[in-house]
Amino acid sequence: MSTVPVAMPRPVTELDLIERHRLGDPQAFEEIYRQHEKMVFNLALRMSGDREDAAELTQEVFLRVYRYLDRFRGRSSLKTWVFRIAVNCCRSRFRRRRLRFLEPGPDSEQTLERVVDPRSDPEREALNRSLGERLSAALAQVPLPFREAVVLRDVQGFSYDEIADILRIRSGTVRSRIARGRERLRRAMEGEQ
Amino acid sequence: MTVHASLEQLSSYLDAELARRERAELEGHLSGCPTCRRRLDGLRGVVARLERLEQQAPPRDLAVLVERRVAVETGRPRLGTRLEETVKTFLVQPSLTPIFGLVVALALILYLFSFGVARQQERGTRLVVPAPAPESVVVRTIEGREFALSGEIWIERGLEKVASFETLDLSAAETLPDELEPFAQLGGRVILTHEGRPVMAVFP
Repeated sequence: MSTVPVAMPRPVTELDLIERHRLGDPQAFEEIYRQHEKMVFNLALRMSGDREDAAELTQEVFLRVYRYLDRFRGRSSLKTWVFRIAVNCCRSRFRRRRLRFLEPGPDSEQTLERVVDPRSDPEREALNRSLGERLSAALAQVPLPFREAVVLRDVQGFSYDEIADILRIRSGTVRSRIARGRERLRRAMEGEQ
Repeated sequence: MTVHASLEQLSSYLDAELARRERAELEGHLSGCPTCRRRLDGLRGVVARLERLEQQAPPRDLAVLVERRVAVETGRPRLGTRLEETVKTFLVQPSLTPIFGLVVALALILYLFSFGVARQQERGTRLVVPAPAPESVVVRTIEGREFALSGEIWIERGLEKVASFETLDLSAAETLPDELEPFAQLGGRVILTHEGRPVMAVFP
């Protein structure tokens, strides 16, 4: 029996979606939104520790995605690009709120910003919280650059190379930030017990 | 391996990011070092807790809110259309024609004014950048160059008084010029020296 080649439908690629968006198909952006909404929301949630903030950040992210989608050329994956925007939206939000103070850089010549949520009081409130709430409180104590790396790795499951691409830093720095972020988080969680 | 394993080694080991040889050395060390095993277990516990975190569902109305904001961004009638409608209104009602003339004259003055501003912007953005307040200075050093945060703008040390510079909009760039790449981690607007002159780079 001879086999007859059957034309398989080509999977919809990211570039197809972007091309459809450029041609004015509103469903293309909806599709991109559906694919990334939950992940972006959860990144914002773990970075900010607050659902309302996370929802607002998610709106900002997708507004920017919509605004700049025309310029996306596919040199990185769409997911990486969307997350780069998401991380930068989170940073801008923290800067606007001025919730930062100086902290000596532990592993490099850089001085890292540390962002804390003054509304949280982990020592007092953490005892009876669920795992998620306790982790959020502990994450709030981790300096922002370390927190970004840990959340991208351990919550979102990105590889070291993808994180380097999203944060625009070297792989060695990714490795260092993940390690230090985990260690800070471990100490923060131990401190609340 | 005679000394204790580094934090980076232990953490990378959990992610299977160590080269084969380094991994074998570390495993050999771990078998005889309870201190490093304890540290590794501590990190493993953190990773396990983070991985157990369930992805939360976004609020139900989030998609609608995003849709609305996108609609606001794109749904406004274009300026040309609005102008056309306004002109029609004035021309259809003769009593309003003198007012229309006045409006056109004012619009012309405004246009000429904005043309002047645009010409000025072509030569370089003029921006009065407030000097960072001493009590709230956030400083980062990248590649040996120091940046202070002023409002939402990072300013390279030495460029605080510069009032004229070009704007490099890289906000949606997928790749950046190599020499600017290290500074992209600052995000947002950064005033720095690029190719020998002060520029304001707008990073994503």
